Parts: sequence; structure tokens; C-alpha cells
Amino acid sequence: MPGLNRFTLYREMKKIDPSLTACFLSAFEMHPEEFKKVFPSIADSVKTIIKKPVTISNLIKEINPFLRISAVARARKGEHFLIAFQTPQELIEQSLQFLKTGLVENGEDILLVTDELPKDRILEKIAKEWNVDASTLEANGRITLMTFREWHLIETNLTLKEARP
Amino acid sequence: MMTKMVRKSIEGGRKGLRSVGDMNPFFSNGMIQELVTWESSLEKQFELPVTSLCAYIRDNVEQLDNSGIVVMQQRHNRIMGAINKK
Repeated sequence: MPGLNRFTLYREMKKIDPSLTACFLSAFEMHPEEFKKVFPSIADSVKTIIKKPVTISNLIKEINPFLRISAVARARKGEHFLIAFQTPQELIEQSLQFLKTGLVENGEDILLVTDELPKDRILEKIAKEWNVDASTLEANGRITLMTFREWHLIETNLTLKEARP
Repeated sequence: MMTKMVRKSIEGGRKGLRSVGDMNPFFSNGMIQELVTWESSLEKQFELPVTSLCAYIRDNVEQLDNSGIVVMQQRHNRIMGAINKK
């Protein structure tokens, strides 16, 4: 692009859309720590540097996690969307990131229904990673954590007798 | 219950509700039909200030048959992680 290198272009795009997620392709081998030293202002927000040449299938494999990160970051009020994560760990990390945006940035209340982690572990994670008083926020109803059984038994009256314990 | 939570949020001076539902226990409990019924009951776009993420593990989503996939496609306004008809 005339007059713009990839890094300048990225900075300009970020000004327009701060939630932009970017992956760079480069023919040069570049360790993330080296990239951070050379480009400290953008290193944290560039998700990965993919070495060229790369096949289409490998490119898809590399960028798929970041497409999910981007989908989470770009959620709009009123949306009902679905993400299929690769692992339970990715599900928890990305879900918490999505909820953090709601609580900390948008002034929303948050609800998490999961059996993946016990409630006290989730609250610990929130307190540590979001730097908030998670227990007070839960007591005030700003944060609601429920198990699958709690939510679906109350909300939908599903008969869970048939469900395995 | 979700409607009550949204109302409480707004009445308390907040901006609404953001929710994540981990849908995978439907699969581990052998309740795929109940899952499809549940998703069918939700709006594609909420009129209330609710933003809702239905979170799946990809291996579980692949257990859905075509009719289940159609419901997922119809009831969500965005899908990431590719669920395609077989």
C-alpha cells in the first residue's frame, strides 16, 4: 500500500476499530520477544506472526483461535451468538474475557452458567485477573454464577432425573 | 429468569446483562434433543439489553444431526467455529 508499511497500516486500522484482532505473515523468523523489543507499542495486540510460506490449511489452523477471540471482542448488544471452541480451557478463558468486557467496560451485569470450574475457582480467577472485588459483586448480583443443573432446573424445568449425576 | 435479571440490572442503573451458557453438559448428560428445544426457544436477536454467548466444544457440536444444525444456524445471528450440514 503506497506510503504505508504493514505496521503503520495496522496502527491506522486500530484507530478506527480498537477491537481489531491482527495476525501478521512474514517471511522472516521472528521470535515474539524480539518482536516486542522492536515494536513495543503494538506487540501486545498483534496476536501472532505466521511464517511464510504457509499452506491454506495451516493458515486456517493458525488464525482460527484468533477469529474466535475477535468474535468475542466484537459482540454487540442484543446478539445471540454461538462459538465452538477447541478445548474447555479455551471456552473458559474466552468466556471470561467476554464477560469481563461487559462488567468492567460496559457497566453490565454478568451471568455464567458452566460446570467446567467450581464457582469458588471462577470467583478467584475473576478477582485475580480482573482486579475486582468478585465476592462483593456476586453478593450484589452483579456477577451470577450457576451450574448447568441450577440454571436449567430453574429456568426450563427440565427433568434432570434422567441426567447422569 | 433472564428477563428478571435484565430488569434488575436496568433498575439498578446498569446497562443490561451479558451471559455465557456452557452448553456442553447437554451432551454429557445425553440431552441433545432438550438442547435443540432450548436453543429453539431463544431469540436470534434479543430486544432486551442482553448479549448472550452459547459456548460449545467443537467435538460436541459435531454430534448434532442436520436438523439440529439448522436450528443452531437459525437461532444465532453469528456462529464461529464452523458447524456445517453433513
